[in-house]
Amino acid sequence: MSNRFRTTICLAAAIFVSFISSASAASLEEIKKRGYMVVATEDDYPPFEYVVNGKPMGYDHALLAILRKSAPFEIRQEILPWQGILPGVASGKYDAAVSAAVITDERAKSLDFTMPISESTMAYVKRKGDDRIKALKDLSGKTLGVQQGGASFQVLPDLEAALKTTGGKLGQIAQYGAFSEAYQDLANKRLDAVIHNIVSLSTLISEKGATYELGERVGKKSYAAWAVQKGNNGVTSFLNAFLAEQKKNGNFKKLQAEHLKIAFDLPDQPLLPGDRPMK
Amino acid sequence: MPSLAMLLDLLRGAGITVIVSGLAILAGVPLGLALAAGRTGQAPLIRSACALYSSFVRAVPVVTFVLLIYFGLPRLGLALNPLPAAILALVLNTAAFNCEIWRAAIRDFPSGQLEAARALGMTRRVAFWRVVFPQIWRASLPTLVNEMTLLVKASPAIAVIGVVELTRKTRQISAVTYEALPPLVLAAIIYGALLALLVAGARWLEHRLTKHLRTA
Repeated sequence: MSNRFRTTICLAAAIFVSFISSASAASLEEIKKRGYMVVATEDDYPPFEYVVNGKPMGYDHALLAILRKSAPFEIRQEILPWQGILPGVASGKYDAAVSAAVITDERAKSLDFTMPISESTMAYVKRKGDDRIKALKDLSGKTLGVQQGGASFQVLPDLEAALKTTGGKLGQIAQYGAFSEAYQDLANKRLDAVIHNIVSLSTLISEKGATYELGERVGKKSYAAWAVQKGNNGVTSFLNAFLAEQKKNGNFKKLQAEHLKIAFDLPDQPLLPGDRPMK
Repeated sequence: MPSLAMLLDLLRGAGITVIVSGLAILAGVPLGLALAAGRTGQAPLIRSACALYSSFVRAVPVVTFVLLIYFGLPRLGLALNPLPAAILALVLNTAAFNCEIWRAAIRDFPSGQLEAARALGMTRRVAFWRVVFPQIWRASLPTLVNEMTLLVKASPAIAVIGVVELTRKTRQISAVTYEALPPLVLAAIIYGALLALLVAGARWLEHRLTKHLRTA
């Protein structure tokens, strides 16, 4: 190996290490001092967050609008696709994900969560009139659509375990960047069912009930909450205090009924799937 | 169903695609030339730095590169908003590919001409601008235009950091309408029109700039 080549390799490695070494997010004191908090929201996750003619809408935006009025600092918002949100929070680029992120064991390792803002148990949706699928066990061997890096993907081991009890097995899995594409493929018969949370699927059925039909719940009861970088307790308690206030004054249920078309009695602290306490 | 409102919404996304790709092309072509000059020049350190840059950037998928710029640069003290970060990522990406196009043209340039220019007393710099460049840009133009079309088609990668360009618009629309196909069909037509304009523009430019070479 020539000397120059070795130098270039070392240089490249040094640049990389400085890139990937984790930076910590701003604490609440730092946020107050600099005068703004940066939150990330999604753009294609109805009814929680979506965009119509360039305007952000949905349940989380309604909550965010109230937070903007009450917060003692400016709230800056970045709207981006799901794939960039949690990595952005974990790396400290955003102070919080004001998005309905499902609380999972995997995510709890790198992120802290606020109190739940919605139930988010997974369920499946099938084509209307597809008689091959009558119950959960009929998903055995079927082609299923899930979202890359989403909770629908992470629920698959639970589904596999459930199918095993009736002698079934997991069929082919197709991963999508956006659920609209999975729904399209379901209508196109490339998929037999799509797995997503019960709230989003209910919204789908209310819009496209002629094409799709809601099936049973899949896996353990789970919740969606806002996510904060692990250990950033100041920001987590700030958001929790805000959410507790909305719960107390009735805004919480009102907005749920308005946007999610269903209101939940939610616990006051984050819970892992199956109502287990956070570790 | 496709509607006028949908088309207008998509055209807003197309505007971002045009601005971002356009700036990346405008900056990336000369930057690629500078890199190619570095790679074929005489300073050994600059040669290997340019080679490393070009090889690395061409090896990294555009979407990974965009994430690296957006999430990585703040560590080096440069925190860019999504739009400038997207433009920077595409500039740096297309410059690496343009570097290889320019380099191939420089390498294939008949050395006799350069030797003749040097024998007439031109410095390397003067010989480059007077003799080499006027010939290599014409040889490189078709390949450069090809790279520009590839860049426009790679531009949806910037959606990952929240820049809503044409393809991301189709996602946003279909998330609400639950129908993926209508916005995609419209987007494909818009992309086709944009690339046809780009190629026609390049032809026109070449025609104008080579007028003096044609005999009437």
